[in-house]
Amino acid sequence: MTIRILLVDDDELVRAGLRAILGAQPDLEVVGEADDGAGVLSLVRSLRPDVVAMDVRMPRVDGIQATRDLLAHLDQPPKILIITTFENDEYVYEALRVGAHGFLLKRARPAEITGAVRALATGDSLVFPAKLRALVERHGKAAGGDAVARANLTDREADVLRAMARGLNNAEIAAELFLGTETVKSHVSALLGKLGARDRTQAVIAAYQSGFVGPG
Amino acid sequence: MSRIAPLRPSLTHLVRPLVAPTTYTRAFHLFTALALGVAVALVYPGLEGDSGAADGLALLVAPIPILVAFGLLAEARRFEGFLARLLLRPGDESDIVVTRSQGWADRWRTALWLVLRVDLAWLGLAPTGHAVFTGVAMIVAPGTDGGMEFGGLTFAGGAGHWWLIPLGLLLIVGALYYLAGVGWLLTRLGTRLLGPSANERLATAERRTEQLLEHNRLARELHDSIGHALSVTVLQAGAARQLLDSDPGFANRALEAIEETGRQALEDLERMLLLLRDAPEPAAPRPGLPELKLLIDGTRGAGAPVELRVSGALDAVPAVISREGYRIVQESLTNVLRHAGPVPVDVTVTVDDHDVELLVLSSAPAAVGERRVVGAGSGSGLRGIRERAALLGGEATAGVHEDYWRVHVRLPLRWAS
Repeated sequence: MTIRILLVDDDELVRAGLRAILGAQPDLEVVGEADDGAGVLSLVRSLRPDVVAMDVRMPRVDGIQATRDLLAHLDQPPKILIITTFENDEYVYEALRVGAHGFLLKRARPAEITGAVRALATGDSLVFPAKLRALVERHGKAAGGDAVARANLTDREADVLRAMARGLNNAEIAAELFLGTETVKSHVSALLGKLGARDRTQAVIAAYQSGFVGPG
Repeated sequence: MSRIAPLRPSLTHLVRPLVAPTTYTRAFHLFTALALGVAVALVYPGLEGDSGAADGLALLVAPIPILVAFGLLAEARRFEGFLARLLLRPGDESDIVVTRSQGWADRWRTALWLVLRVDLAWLGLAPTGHAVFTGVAMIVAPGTDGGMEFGGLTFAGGAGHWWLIPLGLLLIVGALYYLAGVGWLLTRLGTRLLGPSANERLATAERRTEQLLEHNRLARELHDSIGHALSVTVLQAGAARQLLDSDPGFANRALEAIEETGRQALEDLERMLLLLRDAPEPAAPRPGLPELKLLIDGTRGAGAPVELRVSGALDAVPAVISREGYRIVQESLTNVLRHAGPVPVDVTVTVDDHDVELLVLSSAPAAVGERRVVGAGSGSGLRGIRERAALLGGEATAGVHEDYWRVHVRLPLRWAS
């Protein structure tokens, strides 16, 4: 099964580089490109990509707005991977807050880029949790401060959330907590529901923001 | 021990005025005022000579007109601030400014300060000096046969009058306390009269805001230009390395892109370094909202039919907001010209009691964004506008609105107060 990718970036050179790196992998296929966030929704409808790799800063419709559009209008939105020049960028944080699934620096190594796309497509692990933590810390514990406290997680669910924040996937969490993978999956979906989180990224952001998972 | 311990801090406290270096740097400051006062008094004929009470009063009053005249000089404030910083509050200089007078309020405050410090010098140093010399005479007197005479007082000689020694010491110590007290009063007055006035505080806040804005501008340029270029270079190099064998044609194109991107980035860097090295303070005052008309005329000269509508008093807008407002309109127009070419633009500026509102409408929405700037900088002008508006406590939106490309900015006026 190949992973279908849509590239969105206003710079042709960035798209060409990503296309070359991703296209060289047998299991990855770049199915389309756009130079702006405006046409992304219709392209996703027609091309059905698994992953949208998208810049945040674009001239007309930026990555934040495009992310919002995709999540609002599609029943089964693709995974959204934000690609960016700098990680210390309030736009990236904003994109993750509105629901993008992960982010990636343009200066990442080719193996990291392909790895991030695969991790997102398989869906059960987080892209670069350490960088996400740094990002949330820089932006403080402002919005949704005590979401985790209010969620009344069971002890097991709390353990799972902590492991998720470290970037472990379901199989790894299962091994660490001596649980079956299916059990972990049901804990994950239970805690996502309690936190009102769309996915793992959202849940981990909430965990960092509420101080449930501390630095270090 | 336990009974003495609480006593110690209060003892230190008590002795501190006598041993604190500031007591004596402040005395030095008083001496400079004394010298100034004498020098000014000497201008008047007939004031040199005998030292009666009338002359004493004359020394306090006579210099006033000349001191006031000096104090009204804008530069006097800088000099006085400098001296006060060095001698009145060495090591803690935050409350005294070293700038020229910013207005008449500053000038008058400086004049009042000059008069007070000269008179305070007489009132502080003359009694202190008199008391110290009297004390010395008292201490020396018991060691002599004939006694000592000072300032109309006679102290009898002979060991029998030993009690004059502690009294003399007490007098000297008392005089030093008095001196420290006068120094303290002088410092309080200096902080009050030479400290930042409302005008100076506003000027400082404006300077800081402008530095911050300039700082942000450079950071944004670095982000957009160098950061972007390096990202592209790294990405293309990574891709070329992967495809070197399987697709030499791509690798070749990638190397070309790396070369060209690097070249452009170096040009950008050179330009930015020039900006950084050049004088950070603009020589001429930056234009503000009242100069918008000239900007609009210039843009019309570039071929774009621009209309300007103004309501409210542009002159009443505080300087920082006025300058930034001008800059925001300038950037909006540049943005339109760059992306859409010379299309009709409406600029509306509204000033009311609370806000300045800027509205830039360009009537060619389809064209905007199509002709994009390749590589760095796209959208950065708009981001600059948002950042500037946010720094000033306002807000900015930009985008397509009812078939118009629209930049809308609101800046609160109250920020400056």
